[in-house]
Amino acid sequence: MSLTGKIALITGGSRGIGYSIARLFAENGGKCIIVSRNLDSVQKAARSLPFPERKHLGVSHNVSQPWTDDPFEPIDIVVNAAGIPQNSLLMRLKTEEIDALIDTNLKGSILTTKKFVPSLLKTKGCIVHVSSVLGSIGSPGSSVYAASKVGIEGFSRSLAAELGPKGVRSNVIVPGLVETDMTKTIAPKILEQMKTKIPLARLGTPEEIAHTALFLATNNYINGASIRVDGGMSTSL
Amino acid sequence: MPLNFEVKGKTALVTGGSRGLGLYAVQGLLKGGAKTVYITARKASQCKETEDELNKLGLGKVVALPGDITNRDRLKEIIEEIGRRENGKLDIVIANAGATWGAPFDEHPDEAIQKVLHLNVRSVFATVQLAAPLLEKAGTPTDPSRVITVGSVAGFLPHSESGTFGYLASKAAVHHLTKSLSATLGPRNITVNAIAPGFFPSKMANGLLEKLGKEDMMKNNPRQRLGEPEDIEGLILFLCSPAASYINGAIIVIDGGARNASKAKF
Repeated sequence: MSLTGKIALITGGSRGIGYSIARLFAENGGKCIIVSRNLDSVQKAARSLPFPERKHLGVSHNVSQPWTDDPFEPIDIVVNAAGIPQNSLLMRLKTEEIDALIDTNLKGSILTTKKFVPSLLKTKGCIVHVSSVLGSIGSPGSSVYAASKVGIEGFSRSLAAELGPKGVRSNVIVPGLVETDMTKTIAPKILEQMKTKIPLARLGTPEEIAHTALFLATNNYINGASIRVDGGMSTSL
Repeated sequence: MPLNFEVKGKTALVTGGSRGLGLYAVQGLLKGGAKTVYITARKASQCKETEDELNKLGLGKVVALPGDITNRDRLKEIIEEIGRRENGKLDIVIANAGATWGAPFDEHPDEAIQKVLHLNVRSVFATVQLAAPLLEKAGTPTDPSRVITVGSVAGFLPHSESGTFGYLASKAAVHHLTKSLSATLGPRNITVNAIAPGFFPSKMANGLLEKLGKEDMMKNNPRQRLGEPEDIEGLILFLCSPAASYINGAIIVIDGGARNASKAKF
């Protein structure tokens, strides 16, 4: 699984699943441009990636905003991993919170993809989106988050048909519960309860999600697909 | 540390492994470092031939265990034989053997439906049920044993212009069976996933391919081509490797995107 000579742009790349993807891509020969809102943390994360001689970049950008012109090199792989969680019921959500969820999770993936499509058309590259199992299972307190994530799947399927003939693939990873800062906020008692609903009886690791991203970046015939990486969680509810 | 995309030292059973998608699966496992791959096929001569050819590659060992797996007694013998040779353990099962039949609705033979459902659904269940004790012994929480079933994009699309009523229903059944088996076997350290291929030229697919028009199918596929052996080899190897140890109950479509492209047909 070699990404030698490839350049990957990864949003939400300073921590969690995005960072693990950047790390694995770097370990497998890629150069990474990671994107996150906070300049300090994104640069620190970029510096911590293996093979610094490839000059990985940390770029500060809020994905909910349009990209401005930039000096990036041709991008081979775009990974849309930036996302924010929802922690309250719909009635308690403020309009600004709803906007932030849709703007970051859904519109953010759309804007970033749109920005780099011209580059991907040149490199015959691919797009990997990170959705969530919460997009397809009803779970209280996840309404807008679920809508934003399942929206990504529709977006990707259409892109696959639109860009496939021009050599660009688009696919989605659908993670279940993964050991990240996002799941750390779940109360231990609830987390234990959730684990009983996962056939493999454990949470996934960010590395496991990253390996699916690496696979999708290298298999040439998977296009418009969504791959669930959830230990079987969504089949057992 | 990166997990690897390998199956070094692993043992596998691939039903219908002598040709088509089954053969590509065997090739993927061998290239990934599998130690021994057992293959079944109804025709003993073809099974032996594939065994000889693959053993010439100098990779892992291929062992032909020919037989009709719709015969449960024979299937049981095959799996017991593997158990004897491998100390009661088996790491990977690819339940691939399948058949199809096309005939117009009004004259579609009842026996054709029965035959196709028997091999494509009933025998998939039997293969997994009989192999489960061997798989359970080989799997661990961090590196579970793997079952891969072979569904199809036909399992999602109700196109019946080719009259393959049994096949379409059987592949939808395989997808659902995969999900329920994943919930049952996950706690035993066995993951169960399906691949859902689009059109890959093979002896089984070629008749239909001619009928639907190969050129058209390529043109209507977002990737502008049909599937190739390497596509399946890579997917099988990934799903059986440590890199995919948290994937369970997934149906992975590998069709170039044709399922979602409105002009594509199956």
